[in-house]
Amino acid sequence: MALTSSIGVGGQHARKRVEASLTGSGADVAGGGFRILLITGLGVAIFFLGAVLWSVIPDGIGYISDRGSAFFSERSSTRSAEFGIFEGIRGTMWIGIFVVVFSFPTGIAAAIYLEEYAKSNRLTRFIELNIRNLAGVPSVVYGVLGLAIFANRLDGFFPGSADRHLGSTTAAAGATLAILVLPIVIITASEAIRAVPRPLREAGYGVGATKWEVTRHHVLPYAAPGILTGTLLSLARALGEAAPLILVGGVTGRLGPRSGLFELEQLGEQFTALPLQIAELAKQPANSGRWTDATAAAIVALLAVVIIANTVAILLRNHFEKKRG
Amino acid sequence: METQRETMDTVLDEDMTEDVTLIDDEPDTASEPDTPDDLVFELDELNVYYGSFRAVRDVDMQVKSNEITAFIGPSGCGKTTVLRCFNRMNDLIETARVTGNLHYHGVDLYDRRVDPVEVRRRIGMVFQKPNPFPKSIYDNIAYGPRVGGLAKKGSELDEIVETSLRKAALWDEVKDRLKDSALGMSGGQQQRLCIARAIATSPDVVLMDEPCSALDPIATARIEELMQELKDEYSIVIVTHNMQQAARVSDQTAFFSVEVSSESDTRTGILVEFDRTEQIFSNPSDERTENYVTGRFG
Repeated sequence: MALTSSIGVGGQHARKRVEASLTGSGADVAGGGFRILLITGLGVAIFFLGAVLWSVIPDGIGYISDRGSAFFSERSSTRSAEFGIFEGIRGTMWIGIFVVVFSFPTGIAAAIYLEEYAKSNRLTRFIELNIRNLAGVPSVVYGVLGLAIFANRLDGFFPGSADRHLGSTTAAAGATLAILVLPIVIITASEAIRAVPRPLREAGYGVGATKWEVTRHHVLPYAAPGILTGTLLSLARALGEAAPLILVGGVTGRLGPRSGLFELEQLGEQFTALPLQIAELAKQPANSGRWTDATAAAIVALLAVVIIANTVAILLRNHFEKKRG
Repeated sequence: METQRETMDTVLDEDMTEDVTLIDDEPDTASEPDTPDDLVFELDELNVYYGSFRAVRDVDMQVKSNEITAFIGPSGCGKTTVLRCFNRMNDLIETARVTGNLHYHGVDLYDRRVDPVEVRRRIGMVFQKPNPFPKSIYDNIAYGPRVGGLAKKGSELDEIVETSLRKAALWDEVKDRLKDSALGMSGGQQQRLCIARAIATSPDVVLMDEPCSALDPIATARIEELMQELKDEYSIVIVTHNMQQAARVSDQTAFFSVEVSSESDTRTGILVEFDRTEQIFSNPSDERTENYVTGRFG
């Protein structure tokens, strides 16, 4: 009896001591400050994103609804009320096709070789380092490269364009941007392949699969979501580039008479693209006609194209992630 | 699903041209040193290097068929490294290099003409952590036979899958959900699936690298039970951290230890003692083994 009561008293003391030490600490000032800093960063980003959309979308949507489908099907014009972005859409579309057809297979193949087949020696590391550096080279420099190689040396990179002394063709522009995104495709695909867990590869080799079988059946399916996301983001980047196109010789005025969207001959013709048209529209006088609205409308169109590319990337990634279980 | 199987089959057809033997031209076994039929592996002065670092030194050992051979020893003593030599898994590490002799039924496994892929079809492996493919239970088992060209028809494959799962004591638990993802199984089930996958290619040896280290005691007991059943058909080499496990399941035990060089401060794995399991645990001839198995060291 006496024993239990003394424990009770001791317990009372202990409870007070523990309570004091558990509740005594002051406010976490540094933590709170850090939190505010983080929220500020997020706020600044959201503010500017909102500002861009707010300044562009109402005007752009207004202009597009006034013009209707004519805005997308008409060609370039000197009158702001008649301007259409058909030629820009066509050019941007061909650039996208070049990137998908040339950069994706080449870049993914290079990444598979570097990660799965190449010996990890000094040469491989040197090559990897340089590909990383190439991905950081400003796009204008790629424009000079495209001008020198595809436009001048290869006469427009399309059969027949040399006879007409036309170097600045759609094909030259597409090839330039395909080269521009190639290092980015290689890097993102490499990273996706590198992230494949070692036990998965070992499981494949362990049951007697060859290197090719392990790569084809286990590594690539596992890496597919990452590869797809990276490559489609690089596509979005290519579609938004303007600087290299200016150097390769993009035209901002009205092009020749060709009117179809999918005519292969267009590859040997002069080109423009949505980013070039946006730059051109933005240079028009703001106080005459509806040039500002037309600029906003073209921006909305380009944003839509890029958002569609990104959405497809996310949907494909989710699809493949579900498949890999 | 169907299209996947079709593409697999086309891969298979290409593989069918491969020779089924380890070496293209069959070596004249008469000229080889006499190998008793019950010997699976013979190691003679086996050394493993990672770059210039010698990880394991001078291992001599004879592994008998239809027995369970356990490798025990403290961390870093090279038991896993030696195990991974048995199916050329160390080939995947670029800097790894093996010297000395490692004979499998009298054939030098590190002969230049030996195809490591063929080696791994005969010598299966179960890894430390269960590593099922992110595919269905069925496809996990069927993958090895498919790439190995063991089954041409779907019905043959079905049979292999069922037999393998039965041998791994997993059939009754999964027979109604063969198309479900293997990743939805419990850890113990996944490891038994990996054992079923390893025996689906009809190997001769199954290597197990600490197969129970990620499992609870009940799942561990099931796997140990399974090993006893499997040893009628297969030779098993198991690496384990758990001395009781080695004592319970194995017929022979190899005790590895670490030799620290005082000049170069490098740690090299050595084989201290290799004997019948009863001998190792009750009457070891080396003092270091005795210290280890009685818990005074490691």
